[in-house]
Amino acid sequence: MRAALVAACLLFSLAAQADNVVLWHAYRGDEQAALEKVIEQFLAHEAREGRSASVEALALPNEIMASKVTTALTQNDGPDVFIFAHERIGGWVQYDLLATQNVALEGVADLSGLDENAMKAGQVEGRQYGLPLATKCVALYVRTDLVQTPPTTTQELEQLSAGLKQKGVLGLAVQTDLFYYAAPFFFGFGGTLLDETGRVDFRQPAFSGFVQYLQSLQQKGYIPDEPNGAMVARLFDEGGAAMVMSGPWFMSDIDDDVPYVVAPLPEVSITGRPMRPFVTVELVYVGKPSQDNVTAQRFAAYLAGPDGARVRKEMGKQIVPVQSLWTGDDDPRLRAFAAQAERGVVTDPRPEMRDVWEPADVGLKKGVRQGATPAQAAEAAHRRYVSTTKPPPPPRDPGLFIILLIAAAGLLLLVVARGVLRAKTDGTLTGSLRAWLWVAPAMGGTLALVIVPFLFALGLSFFSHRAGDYQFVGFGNFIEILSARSYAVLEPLSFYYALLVTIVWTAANLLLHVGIGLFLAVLLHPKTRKWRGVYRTLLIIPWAVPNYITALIWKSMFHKQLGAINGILTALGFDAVSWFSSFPTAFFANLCANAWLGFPFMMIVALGALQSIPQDLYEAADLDGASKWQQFWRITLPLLRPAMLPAVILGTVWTFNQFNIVYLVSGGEPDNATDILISEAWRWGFARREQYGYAAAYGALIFLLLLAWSAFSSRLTADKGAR
Amino acid sequence: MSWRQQLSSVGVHAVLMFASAIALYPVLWVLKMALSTGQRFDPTYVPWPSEPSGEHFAQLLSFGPENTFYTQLFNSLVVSSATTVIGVLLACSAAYAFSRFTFVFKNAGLSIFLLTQILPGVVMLIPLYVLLGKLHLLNTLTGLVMLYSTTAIPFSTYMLKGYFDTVPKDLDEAALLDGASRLTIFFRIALPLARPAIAVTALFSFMTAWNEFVLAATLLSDEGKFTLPVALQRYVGEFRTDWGSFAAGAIIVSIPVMALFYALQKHLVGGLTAGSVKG
Amino acid sequence: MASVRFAQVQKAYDDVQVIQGIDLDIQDGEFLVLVGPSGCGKSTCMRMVAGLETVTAGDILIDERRINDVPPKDRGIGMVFQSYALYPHMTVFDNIAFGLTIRKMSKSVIEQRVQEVAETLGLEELLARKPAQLSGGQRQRVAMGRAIARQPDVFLFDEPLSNLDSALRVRMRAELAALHREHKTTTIYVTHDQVEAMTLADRICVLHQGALQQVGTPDQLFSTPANKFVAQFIGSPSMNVLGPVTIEHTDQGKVARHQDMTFPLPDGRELDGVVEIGFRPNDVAVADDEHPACFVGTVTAIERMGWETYTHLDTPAGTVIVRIEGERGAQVKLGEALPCYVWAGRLHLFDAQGAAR
Repeated sequence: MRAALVAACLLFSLAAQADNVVLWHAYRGDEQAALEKVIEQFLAHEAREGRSASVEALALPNEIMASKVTTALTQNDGPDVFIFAHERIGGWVQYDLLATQNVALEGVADLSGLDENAMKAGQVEGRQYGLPLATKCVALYVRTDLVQTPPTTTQELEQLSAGLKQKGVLGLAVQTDLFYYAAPFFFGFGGTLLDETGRVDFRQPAFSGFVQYLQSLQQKGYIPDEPNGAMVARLFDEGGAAMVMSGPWFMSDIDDDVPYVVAPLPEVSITGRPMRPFVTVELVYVGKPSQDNVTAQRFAAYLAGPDGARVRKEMGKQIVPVQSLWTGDDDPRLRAFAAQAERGVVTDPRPEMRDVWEPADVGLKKGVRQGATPAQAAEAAHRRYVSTTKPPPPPRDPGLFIILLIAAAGLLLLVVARGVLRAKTDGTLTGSLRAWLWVAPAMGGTLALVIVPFLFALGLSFFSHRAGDYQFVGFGNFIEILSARSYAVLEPLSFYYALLVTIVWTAANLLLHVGIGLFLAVLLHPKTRKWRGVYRTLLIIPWAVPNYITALIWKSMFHKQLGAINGILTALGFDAVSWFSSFPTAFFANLCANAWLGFPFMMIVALGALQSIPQDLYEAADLDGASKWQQFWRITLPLLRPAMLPAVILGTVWTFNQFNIVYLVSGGEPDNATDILISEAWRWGFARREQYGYAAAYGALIFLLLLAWSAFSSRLTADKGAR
Repeated sequence: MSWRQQLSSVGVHAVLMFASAIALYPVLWVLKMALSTGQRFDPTYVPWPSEPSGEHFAQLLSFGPENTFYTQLFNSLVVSSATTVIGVLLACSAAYAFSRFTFVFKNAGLSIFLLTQILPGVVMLIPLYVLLGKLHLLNTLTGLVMLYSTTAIPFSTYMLKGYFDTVPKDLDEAALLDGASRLTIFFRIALPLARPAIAVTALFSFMTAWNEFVLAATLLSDEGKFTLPVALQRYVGEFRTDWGSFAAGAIIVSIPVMALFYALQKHLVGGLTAGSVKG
Repeated sequence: MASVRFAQVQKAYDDVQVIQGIDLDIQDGEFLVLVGPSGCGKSTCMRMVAGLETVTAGDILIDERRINDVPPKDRGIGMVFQSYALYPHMTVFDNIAFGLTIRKMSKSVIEQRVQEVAETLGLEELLARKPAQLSGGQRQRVAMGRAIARQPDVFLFDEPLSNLDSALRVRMRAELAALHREHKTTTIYVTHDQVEAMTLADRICVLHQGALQQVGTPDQLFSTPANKFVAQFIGSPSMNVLGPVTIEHTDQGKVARHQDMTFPLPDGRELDGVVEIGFRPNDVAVADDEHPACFVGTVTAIERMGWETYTHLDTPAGTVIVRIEGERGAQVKLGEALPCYVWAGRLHLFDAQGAAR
């Protein structure tokens, strides 16, 4: 009886599990509400069909969605269904993470009305892996109070802009330094991206052509110099710009009282071709592990089908690729986007497409921000493309390495055994075991969650990783890095360049931290100093602010148009500086942020150390006739040394690996020139097609450098201790 | 005071005020962003908005089923407190042993702790992800607490060891003769005496967890489980940047840490250097 | 009440032997002072008794029970540390009561015991204070109180008076002596100060480089030191030792000679192998008609102490210190050539190994 009950429960839970669908998405606001509505309708539909089902929706941030899905599905604990742009589909299919979709499901949804191009975006080698939900692309926003009729050609656009310039209004606000936004010009100049082999030629005439054209628009003052998203929105809202090139997400940034329409992008007059934006198709996918989950399949179909699409279009304001739904009485702005999407270029879903963005952005920035000639810009893009897509090192036979590994493990075992044996003969073994009990929890945790993962990463550095495929390459990654073959030795991306930047970065920061910290500590130290506590409290603030927040604050303060620093400079009568366009200024910006956040630590350490110096030494020095200055150099500094040295050594290591500041403030701008070793490692591991092995080799080199440094510095402290 | 002394005192105060202003300015700048209206942000150096408005705060703190802020605040508090308690307790026990006992592989143990300080964290993301996956701790706050505690332990251990070293061994021995066991000595003598250092390490452990976002963003996938840094980071994404909400959130996130700093700043001065001065 | 016995006790750190096989019997109720220069191993000896250091070889017995492996708390030991080792975060009351609470005694017993101790040591007014609010002498008393409260069988004192100023030290010395007279608890007391040793001890044990030099009453050690080290260590100023000397037979009897210094030797002493002689500054007098000079030295320094004057003399054998009493002392002048006489009976003779003859 009891057994039967248990079995029944088990069966029931199994059945319930099979019918449950976990859905991951990145929708917010209207889109999220629409999604929930569709789920509700779907469940009702299934109930009518006599099927039990449940859908559990999880909202994820868009930024981390792709990497999460990849890793989660690889680990077999991912979602059953998820929604994401089609761009990653190629990679996911390559990794074998996606289930094929059953498009002929009975009685769920009729998918025949979906736009064919959009459907194609969900196909790889003829098989349907994703169903299209919505398209997203850039179109032209036009303020109707500034422009009567939207321009249909770039010539008209320029004429309009010339007129607007008289009124102090920019013609067109567009984020020219991001290839995604600038690409319509590129395609308008006849540009092509991936060929059949998946390669791009950045030296094609279209690339230098469109860079040149953007430069000319900039010179004429029709487009802004260094726009970002917030600034584009502000310009448009306040009538500082008459037109904006942006996607449907821009609508929510526009104030209610701004009169505008959305128009198709104009034609490039020089070539006579239309400007064509990238079209991203949002797809619903079923994860490979859920291939046989019928409910997952049915839900995906329902969501993409006409019933789902209607709700998403009406409630969620999505540009759904179902022509039959776009009748005359829609919001004309949404219809404009739907029309533009049909004339766009669907982003190539092959994984090789992901290699395109970084070089393209590099080339663009070189042209529109750093004043390089179009040819130089194209060359820069090409070089970056070659170096980030270079083939992995040749595979090696791991035999010798396995022997070495076993030998190392054996040696470690031997050392441990010898220590234990010696303790046994000494009679200190029981005492040692008891002592280790105290240390064990902390040590165990550290070994398991810090040392083991690190050894794992170290091991990874002997492999190359391409699309889920690991190959043993011996020292191949290290040779590649250290020989710096694809670029000049002192060019960004070369290990030696990054090393040099890292060393200069570390030294400059430490100098500032210790210098400022010590200076303020000396001023704050006298007990008689008025308002001492107030100053100390204020000066400690930078330490208390989380450092990613610090980084973002400083990034915003160094913004060319909106930042405080340029605000101060212009108030003093200087020109505004484009901080992230050249190495010295970008480096300076990073340095400011890091110096700001780091000096309080050194100040506090120095204050503590100052308190430990006996006051009578100064009295003695006074009697000896030493000046305050001499006292500082001859008494204070030498006696501060022992207390400051450990802090300085630790500070060095922290600064050497200060990822957050470099990554968030300059982001490596310009052109990865301000990247330090650790952020460079991150890029290879996470931004350039997951070259984990290569990134791990960077990590191993960083580790070796710091090991050498700490060995050297521990001798430094030991020497001083002995004296 | 002679005029010379007065002059130098004025100079010192001028320098200190200038430095304080620089320390404060970026914070005011955030305040300005947080108090600006909508996306309108006037680009002058004046660290005060032309038309202040509390809308970002109101939006952030509004009650309602849509708003996950309170859940995330709660998560952050839970994760940070658990990290602090576990981290400090384990670090105290290890530090006490390192300070008081002689045993085999003591130096090896210390070196391992030291070593963790120079490891490049970024390259360990993937192994950590795989490891936590194997332990079924992905997308759990438990997993996060484990990682944060182990991150904080080595540094805490070093600081506490330094402090324990300054507590005379005689006290332990006196207690030993008084009949106390090692555990009694640890809890009744060593820990109460190390309170300033414990306060400082607790602060650091708390900050480790409270401020961390790379690991949290990688390991958590459920909005209901996010900690505040992950939630905040989403305001400044690639395509949409909502500086106002970000700034309002940043201020709320920073307040607890600032308060702790303020409360503990006396201990901070002595606590950081206690070990090194003697050692 | 207990006796303590060291049987061939050795202690080594790694390969360095710091205690080299000590045998020592301490009687029940005895006040034994371990004395020696710093680093001689006296503290180590005491800490081995307490159980704070392990014994490398040999046995330590308390009441004939081998205690090498007995944990410190079960040895019946009360110890006063040089630094006092008061728990800074506890009140005086809690400090004294700590050992009793650990032993889970009842509250009333503890209360009573602490009160008794406080009365004995005059701490009644201070019980609520923390150690930081006490003077040096008060802390010293609290440390003693803590040791007494547990009513141990053996008291250990590790240089307890070295952190006090000299006046307080004299007073505490007297109190300690009185305390011992009253309780008659076996006491081992470590010091490097031989005055403390002489005034407090029933017996003194002199240690040097981890080896036991001599055990005896203060008088024995002063008058018949076993070797040159003890001779020079006990007594202040320290004994003058000079050599090498040659033994000669003259018409006045046997003499020891070093260059032109000549010391008549007492009869009936074994003189084979004697290479050095020693005499205390007290045992010298200015030569006169009755007492012919043994040597003449030039005065290089004078320390006037009122009734007596310590005079440093430059002699062919180096500096010799001489105590001169009364008016003759007051007349000594720098640069003066002072003829001196040594009482033959007070001469100490040492062989090449430094052992006394």
